[in-house]
This record gives sequence, C-alpha cells and structure tokens, in this order.
Amino acid sequence: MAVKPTLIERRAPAGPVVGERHGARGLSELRTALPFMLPGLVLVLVFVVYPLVRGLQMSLYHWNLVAPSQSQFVGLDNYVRALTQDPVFWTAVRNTVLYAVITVPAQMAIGLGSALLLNAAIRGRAFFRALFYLPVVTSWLVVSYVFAYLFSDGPGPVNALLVNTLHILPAPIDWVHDSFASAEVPINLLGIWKGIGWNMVIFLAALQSIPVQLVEAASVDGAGPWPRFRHIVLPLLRPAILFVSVMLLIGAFNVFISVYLLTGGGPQGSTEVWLSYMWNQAFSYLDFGYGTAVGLLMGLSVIAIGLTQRRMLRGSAEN
Amino acid sequence: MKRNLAAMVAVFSLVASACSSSATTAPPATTAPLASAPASASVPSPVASTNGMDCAGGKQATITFWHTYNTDGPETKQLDDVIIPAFERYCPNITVNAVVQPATGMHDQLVTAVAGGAVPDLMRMDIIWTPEFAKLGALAQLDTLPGFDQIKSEVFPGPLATNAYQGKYYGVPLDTNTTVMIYNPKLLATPPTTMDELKADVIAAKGTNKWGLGLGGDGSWNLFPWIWSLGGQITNADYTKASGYLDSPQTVAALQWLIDLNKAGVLGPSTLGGKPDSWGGFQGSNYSMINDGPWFFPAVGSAMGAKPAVIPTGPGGSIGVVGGENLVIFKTSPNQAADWAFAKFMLSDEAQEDMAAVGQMPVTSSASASKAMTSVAYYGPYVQQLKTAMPRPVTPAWTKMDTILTNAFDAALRGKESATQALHDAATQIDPLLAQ
Repeated sequence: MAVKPTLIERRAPAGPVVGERHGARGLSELRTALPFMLPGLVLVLVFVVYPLVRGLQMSLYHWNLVAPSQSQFVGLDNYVRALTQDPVFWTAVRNTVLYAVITVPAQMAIGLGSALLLNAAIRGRAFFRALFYLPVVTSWLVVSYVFAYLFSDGPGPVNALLVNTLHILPAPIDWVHDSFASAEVPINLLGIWKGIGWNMVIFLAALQSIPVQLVEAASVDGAGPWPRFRHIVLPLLRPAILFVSVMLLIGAFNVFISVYLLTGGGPQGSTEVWLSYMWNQAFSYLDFGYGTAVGLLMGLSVIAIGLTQRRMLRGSAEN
Repeated sequence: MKRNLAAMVAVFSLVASACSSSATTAPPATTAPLASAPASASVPSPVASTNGMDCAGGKQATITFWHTYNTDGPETKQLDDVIIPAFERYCPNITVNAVVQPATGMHDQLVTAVAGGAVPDLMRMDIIWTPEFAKLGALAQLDTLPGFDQIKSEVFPGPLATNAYQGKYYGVPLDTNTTVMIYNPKLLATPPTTMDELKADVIAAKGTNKWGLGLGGDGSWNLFPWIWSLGGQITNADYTKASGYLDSPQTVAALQWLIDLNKAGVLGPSTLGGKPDSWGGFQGSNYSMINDGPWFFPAVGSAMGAKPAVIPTGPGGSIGVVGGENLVIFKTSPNQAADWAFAKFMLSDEAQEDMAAVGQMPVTSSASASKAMTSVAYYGPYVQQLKTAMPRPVTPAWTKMDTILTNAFDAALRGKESATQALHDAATQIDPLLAQ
C-alpha cells in the first residue's frame, strides 16, 4: 500500500523525456512493480518453467528416477522411438485426434444451439442455464464414474434403455470392454456432454453483444429466422467461434481422466490417448525419459495447432 | 476333507522338522516377554527370540509403515489394535505410525513417492513389485543385517525368492497366499476334483442369472492357475524367455479350454469384467464357484457358509498362483535399525499368528504349524494348494509383462484374436523385456 503514492509521484513530474532518463525510470518502475509480480513470477518459475526445462532434460535421457545423476544420455532416441518404432504411440495420437474431431464440433454445435434457445425469452431461462452449466463445474472424476456406471456391462442403465425399453439393440453391449468402437462411445459422449455448458455460456455472451437493431432491420427487410441466423448472427459470432475452437482443441488434446477411469486405455490398448500413454510409460513402466518425450511431442503439436489457429484468427480480424 | 487333512498332516510334519533343525542353532529359550503370545510361544523360535532383545539399541524413533491391509475386513483393526501395541510394549522407544493405503493405484502412488523422496520408512508391498523397486534403487538391501540368516532359515523359500534381485535380498516375506476354488454348498454339493468334472459342473449350473464359475477377471492373477493346471506355461524356469512356452501348443490348448467355456456362455460375466463381480455374484447366489484367496472368508465367505477346495486337477496338475506381500525398508529411511526391529517383530510367531487369525497366511514354518492356523477351518485347502503353487515370473519387467498378457488373454477370450495368434504376439513382445 505504501508503494502506491510513489508510483504516482514518479509519473507526476512532467519533463523532457530523454532516452537515458526513460531507461532509468523503467528500471525504477520495475523495482516498484517487482514486489507485486514476485509471487506470481515465483509460482510460474517453480511450477511451469522449471518442470518444463527439467522435462526437456529428462526426455534426452534413459532417466534414473532414484539417482538422476546416473541417468544415461540417449540424445533424441526417445523421440525417434516414439515416432518411428512404436505403433501404440500412433494409436494414442490417432485416438486423441479422433476425440478432438468428434467432440469439438459436437460441443460447439450443441452449445450454440442451446445458447440460441436460452437467449430467447422463455420461462425458466436461468434454471436451464444453470442446468446446462452444471456438468462443467462437476469434477471429471465424478462424471467419469457416473458414465462408467451408466455404460456398465450386462444390465447397466444404458443397455437396459437400448435393449429393453427402446429395442434398438438386440443384446447388451460390454461398452468399455468389448471393442475400440464401443469403448469410444462413452468416452466421446462424456466429452461432449461435459463441454456443452461452457460453449453455451461463451456463445450466450457473444449473442448478447450482437446489436438488436441489425436483426430487427433484417426482419423488416423480410428475412426469415434461418437467413437472419445464417447472414447476420453467424458472421458476427465468428470471433467467438474461433476462440471457442482454439480452447476446445487444446482441451481435447488434454483428454485423460475420462479415458483413464472409463477404459484404462483398453480393450487391448486400443483407446489409449496421448496423455494416458504418457502416464503409462512413466508411472506404470517407470520409463520417465520416454514418457516425457511422448508428453513433449504432444506439447509441440498443441503449439503448432495453436499457432495455425492464431493465424486464422488474425485473418478473421482483418476481414 | 479326508484328503485335505492328510495334506495338512504332511505339511505340518515338514514344518516341524524345519523347526527342530533351526532350533538347534538358536538360543534354547526365549527371554523376550512373550507371555501374551498364543500357546505356540513355548516352542523355541529363533525369530521370535530375537525381538524384544533388539529395539534399535533403545534409541528413540518414530517409523512410518505403509500397508494395504483391508479396512472392510478385520486386518487393519488387528494391526492397529493388537500387533502395533504389542510391538510398542516390547520396544517403548519405537513408535510405529501405520498408514493404510488404498490398494487401487498403489503402484503409481509409490512411483510418485519414490520420485519425490516422500516414501515411508518401511512398507508392506505386493511380492510382485519388489524386484522392480529394487532395480530402481529405492529399497535397502536386507541380507547384510543382523539376524537375516535366521529369518531366511525360518521362512518358506517360495515367498522368500520374490525378494531377490540380482542375487541380493531387498525385503522379507510377510504373508503368503494363493487362490483356491470357493464353492457355495447350497448350489453345489461336492466340489469338482478334475477339470473335466469342473467343466460338467459349470455347464450343468447354467441357468437364468446363474453361472457355475465366475472368475475375478481375465488378467494374469486370475488366469494363471487355469493355464498352469491345464498344462500351459508362461516362461522358462529362470524367467528369461516366453517364446516356446507362452505360445506352446499346451498353453494354447489351456487358453482354448477357457475360451470354449466362455463361448458357450457358461462362465460368469465377472470373468470379462462384467456384473455381477465375482464376490457380488457369489453372495447373490449367481455363481456357485469362484476362485479366490483366504481373505474372502473373514470378509464374506465364512458368514454365508462358503467352502474352499483345491483347484481341480488338469493335465498340468492342480497349480495355484503364489500371492502375498513382502516387507521392504526404503533406502532413504533414517531409522533403519528401528525399521529392522519392527520387521523382525512382524515375522515373530506372535505377529504372524495374530495376522493369521484375520486371514493373512504366515510365511514362517513355526507360525504355520501353530494353533492359530490349524484351528481355522478354511486354511486347509490353501496350505495344500501352496505346496504346488507357482509364483508369477520374478522380473523387474513384470508390470509391462502383465499388461501384455492381460491384453492377450482378453483379446482371445473375447474372440478378437485366436488363442494361437494372441499368445504368439504376447510371447514376441515379452521376450525382449525378459532379455534386459
């Protein structure tokens, strides 16, 4: 608190700003700001930068967990092994991409749909908004166990519904145990269901920022609901859509808890995703060097995707 | 029952001879205050006699002990209320801080603890992990400590062998077990004695929500007894090669035998991870037989009149899988002497018998011969099964090998791959792991 007046004081005197004085002032401002920045800076250094650097180091070694100094340097071997010699790694990559391709558009479509509905003046709007948002704030752990129960083998709730009530399936399916295709169903459904609420909130905010006059003007000109949405609302939502897609894609690449708890990567390793594979290499097989290499490869691809999307965002801003 | 009795007599005579031979080298009588110990305390036991005399030289110490004794059964209560108070009476200078850990995810948690240097002083760990964590360099070597040789002479060689890594010992066996057939006498009058009889019983038992046999899963622990008893093998004797053993015609035939039963729909859904699980299905009278360890009886089985029987004999015999836990001391523990004093106490007749009373089978000959064991009805078939039971491959690569085997068994049982193909692929993947 005592620092605050100094800040103002230093800014107050108006004089000729020369390069030298500017530098000195910057330094003293930094000195003033440092105490405020320090806690955050220390946290980032300790919990983000240090692990990242250490991870980079580990990925170049056959890492010895107990005596790191005795680790054997292997250069890029861990990366070469993942990219060229490990078919399960590519299964994990494929499944992660598949999860992104399925869950991201589905979450956005349903999220936008519910936002449009809840943007209208309907009764119980606040209640429905809260209802849709509830899965977002519920722990992944809890909802994964709920889905594991819903999709349990034999006379589980989903089987009971599909076999006995709706007569869609001839016999119960062992969802998480039977095959790759059946196990992907609960994993992806959970991903979509849990994300809808967050999409809805972002789209609701974006919808409310669209000037009412534009939509009204279109109505006056005789545009029906679909042309109004297609030509007025959707183009104005474009920044929100791009923002949401960036966030969701990063989120999709981080899928782990649901896979770990629902299938454990099974049956026969077919639903392994990037992070579950990394986890298994490090914590089940104690191959920390290889595990970090697998993890860093994911980090690299997320950065690449993020940069591509940023370029797209910038393009849209210019439009 | 008659056959079981004969087997028990055979085991105990063996045990008695082991006792008398070791007694000759041991102090004649115990000076430790073992007054509260059961009747067998009068039998001189070298292990029992060393504790109470050696409490880390009287130095004050608090040691942390991780374990996974059950909390839904009586095990943890017995440890906290009986075993540890007894130890602290003998060694008032040592305080044992026992921490119960969840068995699920224990391996991963332990890896994290080792990496972060947050391990306890000592721990009761699954026998199958000891070589892995010894290779990692997390465990203290125990065979150089005073009194280790006495323990070595007292415990069964099978469980002891699971503590070895590159010829050195990194733990002492704490409890041992195996699985046997557990049947519900209300659904099945007499248990099958051969695999052919079992097959007939299982087929006959099939009805609406009724199955003759519900296995606890299709992983290594649950399927090894069947693979072995039906004539199959996993690796060669010194665990260096799987090809030619895991994919031999005998192993393929053994797995095929189970696949055929499963295809016929007569194996309980628990076998492939479905509901009801093996315990639930047995309690609900859905399954007339399951295959499980002695802990089933104090927890569930005894109350509902379940009975144990040895695994039916097949072309390979009647072979169980050795389970159990070892007691290991972590290299980083500052209280090694106190840890070792507690470890020795845990192997005393008193502690072994007190844990036997709640379903933990002793690893010492003397405790196995005690009244604590003979008075418990359900132990008979387990003791007999242990005589021929085999350990899972003792290798640091076990965790990975287990995953490969489980995937192969699962794929074959679900009909995704032929038994021949699944086992051949698994053997090819396991060979390089064992060669390391």
